[in-house]
Amino acid sequence: MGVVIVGVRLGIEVIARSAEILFPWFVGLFGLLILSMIPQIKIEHIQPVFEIHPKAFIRAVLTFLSMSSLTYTILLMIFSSHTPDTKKATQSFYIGNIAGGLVMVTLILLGILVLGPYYSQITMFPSYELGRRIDVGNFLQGIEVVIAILWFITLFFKLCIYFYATLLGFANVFHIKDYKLFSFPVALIMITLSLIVYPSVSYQKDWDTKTWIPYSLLVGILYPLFLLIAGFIQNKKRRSSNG
Amino acid sequence: MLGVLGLLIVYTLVIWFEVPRLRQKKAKKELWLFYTVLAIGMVVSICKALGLNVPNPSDLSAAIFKPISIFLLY
Repeated sequence: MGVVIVGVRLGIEVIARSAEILFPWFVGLFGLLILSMIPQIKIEHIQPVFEIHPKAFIRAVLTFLSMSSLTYTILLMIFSSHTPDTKKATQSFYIGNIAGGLVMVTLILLGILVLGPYYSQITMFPSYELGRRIDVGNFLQGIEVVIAILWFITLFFKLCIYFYATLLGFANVFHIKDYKLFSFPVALIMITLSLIVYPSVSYQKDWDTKTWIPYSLLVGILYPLFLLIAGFIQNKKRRSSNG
Repeated sequence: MLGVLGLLIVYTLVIWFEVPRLRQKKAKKELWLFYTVLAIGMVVSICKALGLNVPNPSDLSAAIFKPISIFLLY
């Protein structure tokens, strides 16, 4: 968390440029993971195919969406005010969305194909299991630290964006220009809250599967929809009052 | 006890680093807000360090959203 505080106090451009620097590392290590998993694929793990029960299907789709796409509301809070070029910004947002989804789909697919559906369901961290089976030419074996490095990098940027959005929102509610002032108190509240909110792993599993999905639907779909409708109504009023 | 002591040291360091700049600028609103957020953080973290049962905000959201999810997904 100290690294996140330092990053946020230095500003958002610093975070973006460090993301630029760390991105090849991510791609390289992720490519290493994929390339070393491909010889270990067992195709018969993909059965049964095309067996769809409607509620299970909705559950799977909503779980995936809630983890990857419905969290973009918080990113959009800081995104549009920092990017003056709207066309390029929307393009890069879409590319980022698709790339993130592709990474997740690849990881899930690799997990099922290499580990089998039963084991990837049971283990708490299937990508860590994948890392344990990396075998590059009988030389580099079992380097699950690759997955740990990937987690460090991605978790750092996720924390930076959420923390920065919290600070900016807080400072804008009270019309304060300097958001860096509140980095320490909010960070301390965040650290304490992280200990309070998930008291145990079973609570976490239960909350993630049952409560997070409707919550993310509310924050990720309904709330932006309301804002969009409110924006349309405001635009119409402005246009009709101008003309 | 050790945890509470460490937390008090951390909070003293935070105040020592941030408040002189604010006092120089004479920004009353920011100072008030800073102290409020710091007080909230101090109360919650000292309660947690002493082992008291802090109410969990995700319990609240679970109470609201669990029926919806059971209706929608199961």
